[in-house]
Amino acid sequence: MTRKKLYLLILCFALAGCSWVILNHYLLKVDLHTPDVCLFRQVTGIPCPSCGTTHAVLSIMKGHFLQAMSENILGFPVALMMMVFPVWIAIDLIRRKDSFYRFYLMAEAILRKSWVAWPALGLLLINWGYHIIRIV
Amino acid sequence: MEAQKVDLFLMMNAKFFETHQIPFIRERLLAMDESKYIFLQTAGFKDPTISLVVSLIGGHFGIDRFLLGDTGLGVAKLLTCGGLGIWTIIDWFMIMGRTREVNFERLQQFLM
Repeated sequence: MTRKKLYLLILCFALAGCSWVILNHYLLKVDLHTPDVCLFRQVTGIPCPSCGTTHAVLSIMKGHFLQAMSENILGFPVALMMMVFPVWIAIDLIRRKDSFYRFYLMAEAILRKSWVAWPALGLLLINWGYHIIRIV
Repeated sequence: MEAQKVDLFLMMNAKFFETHQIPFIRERLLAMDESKYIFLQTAGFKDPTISLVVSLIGGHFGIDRFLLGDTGLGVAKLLTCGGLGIWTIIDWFMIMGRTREVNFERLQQFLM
């Protein structure tokens, strides 16, 4: 993937993510149900590994970190990425550098290593299992 | 490389690439050194049909993207419930093209 394509994609993701969080924040404020967009949950009735992330991000925004942890711990990396990546890309674009692009390629290479990928998968499965048990 | 070998390779592997790439691949293979043929045989191209099956079953978790080596996009897909379900559906149509693209990138490493 080229630098330009990656930056555009991440900025689009960030914009979509922020819009999604704002929409959910508004819906919860007026006591409406948040939309259930998870295909996996709708088909199987079981939550997917990232179900609850939106609520976790909203809880983090309000400073309720323990509640966010119980909703989905994946909310923390997602919130961090949503805050850091657009700013990093904006700085890169202004300074005409490619530090984020190099970071992305490095992160991809690290994630492909088996000593990182398998423990990460294990943690993800533990987190998923916890959510399934909690709901069922 | 001999034209017969090139045609045999293309006959067996044409499904892994886009149709419009075939003339270019043939041209480059004909100009390629004979000694690289054995490495080319072991390149291990990914089957677009398998990618589509994986995308239909595990696309929601980004497994299709992990399979193609797009780890970053796989993580993004995994963390966002398959891009709120929209990206999952888009990828059902895009993944075969992306697989062919990845195969072509892999082939280019041999052609260089």
